[in-house]
Amino acid sequence: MSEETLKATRLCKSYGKKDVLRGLDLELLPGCIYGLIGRNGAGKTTLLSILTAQNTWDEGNVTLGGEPVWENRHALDQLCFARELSPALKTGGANALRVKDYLRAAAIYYPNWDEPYAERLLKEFGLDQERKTRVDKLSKGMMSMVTITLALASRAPFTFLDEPVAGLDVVARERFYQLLLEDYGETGRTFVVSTHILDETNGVFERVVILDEGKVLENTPTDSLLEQFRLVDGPAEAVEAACTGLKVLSRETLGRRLSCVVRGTPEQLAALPAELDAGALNLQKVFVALCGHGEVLNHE
Amino acid sequence: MNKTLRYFSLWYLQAVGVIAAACAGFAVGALLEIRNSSAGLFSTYLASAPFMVLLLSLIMPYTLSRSYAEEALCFGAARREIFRGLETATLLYALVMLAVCMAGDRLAHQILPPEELNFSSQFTASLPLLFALLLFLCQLGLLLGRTRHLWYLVAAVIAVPLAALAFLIGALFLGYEEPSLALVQARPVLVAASLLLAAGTAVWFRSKVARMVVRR
Amino acid sequence: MNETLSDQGAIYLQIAHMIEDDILRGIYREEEQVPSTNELARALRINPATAAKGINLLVEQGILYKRRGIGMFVAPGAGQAVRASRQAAFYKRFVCPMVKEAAGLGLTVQQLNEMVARAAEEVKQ
Repeated sequence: MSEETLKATRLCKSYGKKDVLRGLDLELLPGCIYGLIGRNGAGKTTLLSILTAQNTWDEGNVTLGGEPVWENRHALDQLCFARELSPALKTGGANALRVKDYLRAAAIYYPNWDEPYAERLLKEFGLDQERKTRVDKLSKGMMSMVTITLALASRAPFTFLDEPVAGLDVVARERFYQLLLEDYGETGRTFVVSTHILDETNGVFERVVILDEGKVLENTPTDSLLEQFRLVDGPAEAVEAACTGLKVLSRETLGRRLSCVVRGTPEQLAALPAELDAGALNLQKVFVALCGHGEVLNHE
Repeated sequence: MNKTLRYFSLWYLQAVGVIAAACAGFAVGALLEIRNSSAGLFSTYLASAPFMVLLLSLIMPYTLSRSYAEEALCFGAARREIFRGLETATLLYALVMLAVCMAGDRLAHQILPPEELNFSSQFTASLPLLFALLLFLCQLGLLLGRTRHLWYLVAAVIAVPLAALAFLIGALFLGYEEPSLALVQARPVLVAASLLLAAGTAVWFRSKVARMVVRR
Repeated sequence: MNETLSDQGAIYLQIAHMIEDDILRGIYREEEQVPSTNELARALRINPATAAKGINLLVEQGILYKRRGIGMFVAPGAGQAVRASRQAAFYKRFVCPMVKEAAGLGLTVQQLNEMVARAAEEVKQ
């Protein structure tokens, strides 16, 4: 697949008085599955629409393989942004398209469109009977499946999915991750999955990009990130002592017991006393620790 | 072939088909009435088939192309390409509409007695082309430029033909002679004004799109 | 192969640990082939790159080795190597916490030893 890097430099974007992206730098490597996580309003959808040249920006630039993405046919042919379809979006326009027409349009626009694959996915998702249904008349789950079908069958070297699992039940979510990994196994293309739902994404994302307040907070391999965090729990004095030299991200006290989320190098964390080491965190807890902005919780 | 053109042709052809079918239906209705030697609803309004076309030309392209253009953007088409595709689709659509109007006009002349003919068929035959063009360009600018100031222009562009339409429809219902004479005299001015507006808008939007495309 | 992965902590370490466990249990004997990166990824529903990272860790430690064009195999002496490193970690991971916990509960060293002996008897049966 593609060997080119998608790079955003010092991106700034405001909607009126609201600054959404504030000098954001991001480099997306080819052949990698990224998880893009951030709170509501962190700018995830804005970022994705700018990276795919569907939205304008105020400052900075976006390049693919060194060439600007804006109005660049070669670059646009390699990008696919599968937006979140939602009943809340305006009706009429594209949402009024029937499923089959929506996919027919996709076949026209995406140069790498894989029609047999799209058919297989439609059957698997049970959308075969819904071909003539308008997109905005589908259930939320089915809308997500249409988005996923579009994203996967586009076979675009850089594919962006915005909240693809919103509205899917647990079984469907599992199937999505399986399909994603299967596709990745076959094509090795880059996927960027923007999502709120972090459990079950275990091991799917090779790298994770955390967006916070209009900037990239972290862009690292998921495993490396998780290795840097620990929950330390026990008597307050002992915990405080053990946490010296480590970055404490959150503190929770319950009487004389103190629970802290700490960050440090794997070596520092290995030196923690075993009885205080309450274990590693999952991605969701790490995200909350980083983007919940370290509140002090005191239960008296 | 330009992808956007292919994309739009899927729907424009349907729209054209619908309108052509409506006009054909009108013509058939009028023919049947003439056969029965009675001037009825269809024959009276046959010459106004261009009105219908004009009305539909005002409404349909606006709603269709704006949303489809935005969707084309979501599918990753370049704005330049969308614009070109839309432009071509618009011209084709307008030409087809013009042909339909003129055919309706010709038919009206052939089957209706002279006193049933009103000027409106001749007058309005040229309008759909002009206003379809204008409106496409206007809301394209809305899409691509996402500027709010364009509403003034759009409002002006819609107001002129709507005013003429209202006048004509009123004339049809109330009896055509006197109002129509005034409008017949005003016709050259109206046509010239529309042409100017259309050309001016086209130039303005082209330059706007060109600036947008070059920026960044 | 234990198919449940925890979502806490690095996955690649869990993969490596899992394969080591299986070597210890005799599921993979020396010079036997272990599942490929893709097979692991598919079975555990994870990114092949992560599976590869876990396997590469074991290759670096000399537990596995690669036969070009065929796959990954358990290195000779791997069983012993894994056992040795687990034994070294055993003291810190299990014994120290147990002793601290016992002390916290007021158990004497003698009581602790008695318990250990009793448990050993039960295991034998």
